[in-house]
Amino acid sequence: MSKYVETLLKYATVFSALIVLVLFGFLTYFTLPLFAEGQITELFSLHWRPFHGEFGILPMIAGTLALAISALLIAYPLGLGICLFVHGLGPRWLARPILLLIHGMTGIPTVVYGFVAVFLLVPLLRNNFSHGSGFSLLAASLTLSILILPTIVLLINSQLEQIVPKLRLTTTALGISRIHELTRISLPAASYGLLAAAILGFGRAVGDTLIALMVAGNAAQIPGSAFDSIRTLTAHIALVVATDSQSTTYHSLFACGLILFLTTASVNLLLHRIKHRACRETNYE
Amino acid sequence: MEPTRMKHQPFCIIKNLQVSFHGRTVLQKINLTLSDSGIIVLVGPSGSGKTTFLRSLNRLNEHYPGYSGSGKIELKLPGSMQDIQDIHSTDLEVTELRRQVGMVFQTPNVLPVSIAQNINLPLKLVTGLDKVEREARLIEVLQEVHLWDEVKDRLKESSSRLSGGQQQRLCLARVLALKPKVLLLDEPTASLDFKASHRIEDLLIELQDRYQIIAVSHSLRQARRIAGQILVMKEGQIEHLLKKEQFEDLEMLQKLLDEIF
Repeated sequence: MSKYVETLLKYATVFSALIVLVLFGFLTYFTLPLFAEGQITELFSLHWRPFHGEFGILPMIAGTLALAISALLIAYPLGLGICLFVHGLGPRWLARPILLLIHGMTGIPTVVYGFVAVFLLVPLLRNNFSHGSGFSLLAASLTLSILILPTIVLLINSQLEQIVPKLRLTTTALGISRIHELTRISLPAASYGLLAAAILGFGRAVGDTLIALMVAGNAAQIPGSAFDSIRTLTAHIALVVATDSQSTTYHSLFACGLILFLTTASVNLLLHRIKHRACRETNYE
Repeated sequence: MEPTRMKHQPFCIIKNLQVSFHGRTVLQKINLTLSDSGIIVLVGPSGSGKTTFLRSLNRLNEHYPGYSGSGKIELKLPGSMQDIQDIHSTDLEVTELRRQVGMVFQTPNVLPVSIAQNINLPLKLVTGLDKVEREARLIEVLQEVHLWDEVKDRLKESSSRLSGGQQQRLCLARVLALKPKVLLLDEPTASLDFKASHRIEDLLIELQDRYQIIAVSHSLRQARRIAGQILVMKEGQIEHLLKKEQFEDLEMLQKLLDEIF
């Protein structure tokens, strides 16, 4: 029986790896014509005007980076704060409900966040800041930060859960205050989790489509301020696919896909490397 | 080095100490005066409340969920006898109490940092000493626990690479660096082999003139070897406080303990 299971698992692994390879090959194959026809320079231009023969995806790359980084900048400190609160800065009885809430957040469909943002956050921004329609980088990054918050909290929390209980009695007996214990001993010891949370949070922010599509405004421009409308690579693919399936416009999408694929792959490889290093260090000890 | 303390003076007065967790009584109505006559060793069967008694003296019981306690404990700390249970006292913060009443646990609990940082970091966070003073204190305490020669060339290495016995001596050094008055040791040799245990015992005998030591032990042999007084506990109460002359004869002690248990 175990032999069958083993064989089945082996095939499943090979199959999964093959799918990823096929995906990569497929994206590369469809991107190649851009290289062959010398349109690659056009691809990395600042203008997306397909009717004028300009297929620049730089605004989308900039939009994606601006959104992912700003969402991370909001969600990461918030997530870290929540973890510190749960692990001793806040009252003990509140820790469990907060973690349950965060766990619950992972189950909420993205479209719900987007929907709520469109009807609550966007009008709020539109009415309070006399700048644009409210569909903006700021609206998207605020919404996206809520979406990636559980990823960050749960990752850091899982590390702290392994570290803090072992240290708490020792540090308490030494007369070290809770805040000192967390910031000077536990957090440095949880550096793998802290880094992994940042990388995974970033990866999740880059990969999200719906929030950007619904809330960011989708103007293909380099954002000059937080109130500017932006378009991300993911939203760009979704928008163009819905309207076009021919021509260079269509091919340029594969370049977007390839960039996203490589970003996600890099995020995962980086994570794997850090994990490997963390494990090696632990074995040393 | 600390000056030798006044012998045979009371240093701990306990009145009606009662401790329970989640409503289950662990220590009941303990009334006791401990005087300064060498190491005090607590013995008794498992579950008799030895560790809880020890933790009452640095208020570590409060760290555990479901704790409730009553009674009064006075400890002789610099100045005078101080009521350590009085949580509203502004004279003695609980963190300061724990600095003055240091504790070493059953299994060595080194912090996940280097050997030097294990001593430096608590010293910095608790006392706020500057770097030069900390360096001096580090060398002083590592010499005091006879660990200096073994680690002086690898102070920056991870402390988890030390042997169990070395880690336990490092934990002791870490507590000593904070200049405590009282040392609480909860079966400090339980996880160590014979040789390492013997070494810790020798060390405690050396330290007994400078610190008031209260230790829990499972081993009668160990208790007889290091103790100045033996405190026998049973079912959350103090059954006997034995003076040195009462336990020097192993047969007599064994007979007494057989009667108690």
